[in-house]
Amino acid sequence: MNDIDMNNGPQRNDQSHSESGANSLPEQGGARGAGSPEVLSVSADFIDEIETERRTHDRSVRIFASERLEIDWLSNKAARRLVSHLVGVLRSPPNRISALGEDLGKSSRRQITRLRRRIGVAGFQFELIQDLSVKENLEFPCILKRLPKQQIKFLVEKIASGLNLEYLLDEKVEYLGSADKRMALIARALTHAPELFIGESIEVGLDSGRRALVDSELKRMTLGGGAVLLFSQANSGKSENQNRG
Amino acid sequence: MSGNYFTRELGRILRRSPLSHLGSLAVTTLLFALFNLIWIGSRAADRYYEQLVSSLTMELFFEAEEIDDNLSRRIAILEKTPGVSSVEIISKDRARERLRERLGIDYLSKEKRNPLPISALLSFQFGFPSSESMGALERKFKAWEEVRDVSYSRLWLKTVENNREIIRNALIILLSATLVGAMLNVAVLSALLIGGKSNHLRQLRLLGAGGARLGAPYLVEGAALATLSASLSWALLLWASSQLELPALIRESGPPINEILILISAAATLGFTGALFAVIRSLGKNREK
Repeated sequence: MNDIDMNNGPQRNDQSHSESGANSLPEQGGARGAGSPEVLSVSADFIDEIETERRTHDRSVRIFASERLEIDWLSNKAARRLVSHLVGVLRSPPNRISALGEDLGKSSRRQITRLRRRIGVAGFQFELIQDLSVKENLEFPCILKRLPKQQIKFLVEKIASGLNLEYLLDEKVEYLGSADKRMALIARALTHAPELFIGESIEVGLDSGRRALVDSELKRMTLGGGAVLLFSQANSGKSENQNRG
Repeated sequence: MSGNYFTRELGRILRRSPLSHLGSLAVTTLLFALFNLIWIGSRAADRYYEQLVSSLTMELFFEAEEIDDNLSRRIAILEKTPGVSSVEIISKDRARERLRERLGIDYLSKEKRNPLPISALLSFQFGFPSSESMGALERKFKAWEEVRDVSYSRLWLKTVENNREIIRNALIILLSATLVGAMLNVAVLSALLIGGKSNHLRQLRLLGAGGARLGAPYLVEGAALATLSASLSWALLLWASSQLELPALIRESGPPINEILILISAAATLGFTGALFAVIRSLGKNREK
């Protein structure tokens, strides 16, 4: 579990260290480089197995702490499937995907439940919980992490302020517009200072001001040692390379 | 915070479908009221049969022509026999008198010698007589050389015991049926509530909520519903019995307060089990592959 200092932001426990992947570049100002802990690793043959619509050119996915990685060479279907494996909705074969130091193929159900608390996802099958207000939605991942009440309040206010969502906190999710919902979803994925943030086309439907706010929060996250993995379909089929933030 | 979430979630479950809860409460209360009636009925039936059987007597006919020392010793032993509450010695003359009272005429008036034997009429403590215990006593007394014969209503006792067994089995089936009905009613309500919130629960699970956190509000809700239903059903019956002039047998067969509390606790466990069944089944269905 993360220790979160209210003044200095999240401080993460060290993960298993490994060399930085060849296909990953550092976020400017992030504490990365050789020796940065590997946050996520997906083998090339597994990518090849789940991607049935395009050629993958035997690419693997590796991401290290403080990095931002954007993938636009996976089809939407394959990206969804990959995230389903990452969050344990689908069982993974052993030695193919490791996230936050755990081989997902060998993890027990309990370990996967704990792992989910360390990841923040915006998009894919993750949605806001309709019955709850925006504030309750933001609080929930922190409750699951058993953070103290004061700290939860601080974190929720901090992310709401960062993404300019204070005015939405008491609103019921069902009354929100689509852009507000997307912002709230991103906020929920970031509130508990996850070690890995996964986003699906997060900027789609947001105006330039909100895009800048999201970008700034993601930068802040990588500076704090978190990893950001973004899936986008913007250049699908055109780009053969992974873009880096 | 977590506790707050739990109570808020419980409140949301109740607010979401008040009519379902009300309907389920009414049905469960009716089932528990039926259970209570059968329970009281079974206690009354037991009591009735105990009273009936306890009126059974056993008569020992002696060989002796008069009460001598040997017979007196045997009578003393009879009085100390476990289960025997009283011993009435019937002399030859008393036996003749009883015969005359019963038949309305003295058939032995022309007899020079009274042929009737001296006998001892044994009465038993409440709850003692049964085919087994009476058979054991019969065998014991027949082994005495002073005893000519032992008589009691064997066939009647056997018939009463058989009837009691049949009634007891029927009541057990009825009691079980009402309990299973109540448990399934709670389980169906929980399953419906979980089904109605499947997307909500799926999202909570994706965020890392464990099974205990997801299921706890439903388990508490199931136990609370059953407890409330059982308490209401007893309150209803106790109120009704206070208003009605019931026969003494039924009035005295009502369970004591500690037994009622045990039955309410058992109902809570039953509700919890029903909800647990629904939680395991419903949440298990949505579990990851």
